[in-house]
Amino acid sequence: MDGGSLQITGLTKQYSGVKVVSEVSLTIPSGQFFSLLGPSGSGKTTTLMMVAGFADPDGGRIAFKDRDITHLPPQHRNFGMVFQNYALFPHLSVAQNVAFPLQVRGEKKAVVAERVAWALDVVRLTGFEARLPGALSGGQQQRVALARAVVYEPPIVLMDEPLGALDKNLRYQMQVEIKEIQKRLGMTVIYVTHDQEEAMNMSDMIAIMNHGQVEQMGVPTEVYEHPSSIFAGKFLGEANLIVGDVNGSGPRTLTHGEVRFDAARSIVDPTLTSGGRHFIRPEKIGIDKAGKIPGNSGDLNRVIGTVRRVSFLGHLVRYGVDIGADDLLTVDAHNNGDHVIFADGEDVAAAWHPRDSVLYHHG
Amino acid sequence: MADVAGDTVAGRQRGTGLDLARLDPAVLAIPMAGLLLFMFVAPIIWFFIQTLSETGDSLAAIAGTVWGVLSSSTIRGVIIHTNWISLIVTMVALIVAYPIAYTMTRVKGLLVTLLIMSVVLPYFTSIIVRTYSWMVILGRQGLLNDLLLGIGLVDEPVSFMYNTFAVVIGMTYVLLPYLVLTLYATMRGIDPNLLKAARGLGASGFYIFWRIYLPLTLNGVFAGCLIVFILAIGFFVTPALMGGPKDVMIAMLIERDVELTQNWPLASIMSLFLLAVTLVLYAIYYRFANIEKMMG
Repeated sequence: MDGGSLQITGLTKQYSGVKVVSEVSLTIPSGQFFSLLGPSGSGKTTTLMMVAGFADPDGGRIAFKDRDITHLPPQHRNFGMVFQNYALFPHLSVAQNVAFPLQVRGEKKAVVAERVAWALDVVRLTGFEARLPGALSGGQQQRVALARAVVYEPPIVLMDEPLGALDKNLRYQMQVEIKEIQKRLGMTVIYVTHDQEEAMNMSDMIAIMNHGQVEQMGVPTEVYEHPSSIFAGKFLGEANLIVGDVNGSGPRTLTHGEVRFDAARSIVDPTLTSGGRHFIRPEKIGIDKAGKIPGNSGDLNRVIGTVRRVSFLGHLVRYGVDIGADDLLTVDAHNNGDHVIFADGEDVAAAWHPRDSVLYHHG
Repeated sequence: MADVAGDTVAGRQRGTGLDLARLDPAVLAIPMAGLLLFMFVAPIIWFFIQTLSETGDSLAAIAGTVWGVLSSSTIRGVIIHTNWISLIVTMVALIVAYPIAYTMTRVKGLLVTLLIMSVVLPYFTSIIVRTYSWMVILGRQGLLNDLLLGIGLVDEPVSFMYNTFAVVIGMTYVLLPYLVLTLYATMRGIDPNLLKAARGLGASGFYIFWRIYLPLTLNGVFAGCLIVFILAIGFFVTPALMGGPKDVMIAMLIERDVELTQNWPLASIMSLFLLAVTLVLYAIYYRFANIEKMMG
């Protein structure tokens, strides 16, 4: 599949006066798995629909290989598309569904047969040619939709929550499979999802969307470890946000009563009206008996507290520790054999490194 | 029960009163089934037995008479003409109804209500009223002729009335709602994402219609056409009022034999034929309806 990047500049769409997508700008390089991640109503699907050509932008520009396609009808964009509920043609067999885009393009019969066989082999559905979509399971229907979207080797494949209707185990299996196919064929994929684990598992790049805007864009590890806003931090996974004051005691220090929390970085978050939030992920926090200090290096943030909640999740134990702050401190301890599970009411000490923390303040 | 306010649970526990919720639904159909049986099915069977037994002493003799009647050139002509008119009406109704039903699925809000009203309201109006209103439009001094004369397109009134053309126009109009509503229901059931997907995969509007939309509406087309055809072959009022001397349909022939010539056996044979054709077509329709359910 040939290269060429997709460039979105200042893309805006409004429905009855409300901006659902507002000044979105993205560059998606060729061959990349790019996810638009966000809650419902964040504008991610509308953005995808504008890229597909099903929604007409009110402002901004979409360019592919330096060619303006902002208002080009969808049938002339030559992009592949996988819909949430598959949108398979119910009266056509699996082979006829996959052949459809080739027949539209006037391919010769022999070419069609060869390409269909290839695409069904890619999604491991050889032998299902004559079945009707209604006789397939959800996962199989998803694969037919995928085969139909890649059979004519479009430069970009757009996917709108393609795994939304599948159960959890199948979702994970399909994530791995789609990612594997994408790498093998070198496809550019723009993928819309509200599932942060799915986005992190599959993507080369993630754009987190909120209120019609891109909140943060980056590789999965970067957006997870260094969220640029409280929203991004909370959306990508479990997060502690300790409320406190930011006055005086250092540029990246938050105080809550007598306790000081240091962070390696500080970021202005406009959603805050006063004070600050000290951000730390639960798995970065060490936990030990009261009196002992978990971890071994210096300059740690340290608190003592009382266990108020114990959730045994198998691979980890999740604690809720009362440290005198507004919320319980969530701490994830790996259930790795060395860890002795603390009981409800036990006094513990918790510590974490400032490099794993971010201070959000109102600026 | 003295305790009017007592709830149904208490009533059940005491074992008093009729608990409607526990009744088999089939039981509820008994009054309706009884009514149909005694007022409709039984009289028809009685009528057939009475009248047909006059035409011969044995079953073979009766069958011979029936065959003789149905193969006589007059009646065969009427049967062919009835089917021919019904077929044309069905085709014209389909051509008119398909775009109307499609438009109804595309428009929103007040417009869709208006469209549905304009389709359904005539449906609740008497056939006679609707037929006469077309006579007002198509007559020699009717609205259409006034218009054509007024703009000078013709020099003298055109005969729109009392011919097969008038019958087709009138019947199509009367039967249109059945087809529009059947098609509308089918079209509403089509996932709009399918058409989006087809467009996204590169198909043009005509190609999408031909490969996706039309095939998905075919069940509705067949079902709707069968309903219209079934109703059309039994039509009486519209062809009687708007047709010419040649436009005799089976129902008119039956009426003539019952009312004028009092030849009840002949009327009976033709009724039996009409009923048989209707039941066969209905069986086909039922199969289609079931297939549609299976696929949906």
